[in-house]
Amino acid sequence: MSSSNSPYKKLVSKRIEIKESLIRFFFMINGYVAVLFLLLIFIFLLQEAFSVIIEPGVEDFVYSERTDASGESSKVYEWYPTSDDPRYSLVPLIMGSLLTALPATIIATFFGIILGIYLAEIASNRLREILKPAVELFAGIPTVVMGFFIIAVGATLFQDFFGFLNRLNAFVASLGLSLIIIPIIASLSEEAMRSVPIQRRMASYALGATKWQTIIKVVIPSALSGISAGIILGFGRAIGETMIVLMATGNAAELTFDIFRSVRTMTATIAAEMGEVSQQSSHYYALFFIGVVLFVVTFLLNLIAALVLRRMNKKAGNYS
Amino acid sequence: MKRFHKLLIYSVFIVLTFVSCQKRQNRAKEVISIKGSDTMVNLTQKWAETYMKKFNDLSIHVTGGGSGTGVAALLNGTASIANISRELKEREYKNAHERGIEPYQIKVALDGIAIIVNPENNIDTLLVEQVRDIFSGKIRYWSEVGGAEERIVLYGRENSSGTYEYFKNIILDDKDSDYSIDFATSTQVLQGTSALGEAVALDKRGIGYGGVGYFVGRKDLKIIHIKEGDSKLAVSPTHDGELNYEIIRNGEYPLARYLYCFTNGEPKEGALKDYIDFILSAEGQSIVEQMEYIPLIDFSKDEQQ
Repeated sequence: MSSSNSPYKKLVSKRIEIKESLIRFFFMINGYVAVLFLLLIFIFLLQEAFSVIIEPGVEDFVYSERTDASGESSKVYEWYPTSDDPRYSLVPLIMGSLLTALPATIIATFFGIILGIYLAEIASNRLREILKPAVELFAGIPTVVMGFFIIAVGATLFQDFFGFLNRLNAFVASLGLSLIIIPIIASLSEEAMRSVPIQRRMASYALGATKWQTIIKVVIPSALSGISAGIILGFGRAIGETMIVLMATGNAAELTFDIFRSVRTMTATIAAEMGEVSQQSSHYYALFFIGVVLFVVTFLLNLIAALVLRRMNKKAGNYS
Repeated sequence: MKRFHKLLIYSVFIVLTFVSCQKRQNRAKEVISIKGSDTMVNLTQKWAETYMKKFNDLSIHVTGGGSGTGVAALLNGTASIANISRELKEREYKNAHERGIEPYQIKVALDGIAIIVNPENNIDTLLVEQVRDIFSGKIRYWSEVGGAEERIVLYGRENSSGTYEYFKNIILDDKDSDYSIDFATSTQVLQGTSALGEAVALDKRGIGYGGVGYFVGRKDLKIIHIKEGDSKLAVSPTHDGELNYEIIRNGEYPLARYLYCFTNGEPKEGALKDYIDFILSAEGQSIVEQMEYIPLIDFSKDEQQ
């Protein structure tokens, strides 16, 4: 190439170089912005919530001393932020979140893994190509639509059959939540099972195992870390979900262990009260404190899931 | 040449954008924003509609959210009028003064709070004390007040609602001692009076409360008569499926309250004052009656005279 060291070509290559480095810089900025925003949100939450730790005090988020009409004082676990004698116990709200998220995760684990097994091991390729996008599409249904469906159809149905005391209760909400997290668990378990090397299945068949035995004894144990990551992510999603629980739990901030009673979750409390609270009041900061609790819980759950998934990928890498 | 074309097209677009902005600015209507009480949202919307038909150059935005939202909007300066279905508390006045806001209170209508149950419930009358014990969780079975052997299911409003505050002050709080009683923790919280009506209509064990205008004439709800003492007569805010204005206005019904509009300082002139004058005029108050609230002007007396 005779023209390779002509001054014109040099100029062009320099221009391209600058252009490329600019583009690279732009993409890099976009990458870091995500991390930056996460940090900023966390700092903002902490800063707002910190004021509350100074004013009402941390132990107020667990219980408050209250003297009843007869003058006896006792510990109460109640959420009454606007009362003349405000009480900020998060215990009933945390209990409410657990009472909806745990049953939802249990239900979704059962159905999600079954769906995952079917997609990964049993369904034909053609069927899987239809089913998998359908399952993923299901996860994209707006949660307010799901909430509407569950209170209009689900709640009435259960009320007619079982006659629970509260038409809207933790169980009805957890059914709605499980519909949201089944796709998460199903698609992660399916991916985990599909990444199990074919040689293992072959070895199992060669030893005379049936398909069922192979799935239960070989495929699932090998895919266990992926499946558990799915379950953890699903649980995190259930804890953080707002609209369904706001609509379907009945929102009674009662400390109860009965899954068929009305409960109120942390997310629903923020959603229902944030718009109406006057800024810089103790109630306002208390809501931020709930936000911090939620943020930390979901962050930890996501972190655990990421670590489990990484371990699984490493393991898979070693075998293949 | 191509570049020139592009430039030309872009500049035309930019100029057009600026021109269109200018036009809109010139045409911009005067805006009154009203925020607050869910109880008053229907009424305020009707007022706004009627008023906007008369004055085309004015636009009125109405949003609900509860009296707490109204107070917050007043304090943060995000609304010209705050609808609040209770009086302001001392600490709210203090808070406002600290921010340099002078809440100005205007009574705009009267409202009765009705206590509702499902029509399947055989209870018609409750004593005020019984209502207090039911909503504070002391009475838990309908049989304790002469009803069926069933649990009582409580329905209430969110804690930012003016109806919540009012009901708590009038019914729950003990006037003799300073002890404040809260609603039972098992009270289910519903967003808005109409949602509450729906919930009680679906639950034969349910009991709830709310502005009587939302429940009057409904076949799927029953409005309870209230007695202030054993010797007194039981009164209901309705009579034969219609509002009983007499009993609410003369204070015989214990659960009647004023509805307020709050502004920052007394409105002296301009669109805001004209709008408030309209609300308080005979026409504005006839809308109050039309919407099943109780007007400040007694129309029945005017007819008699």
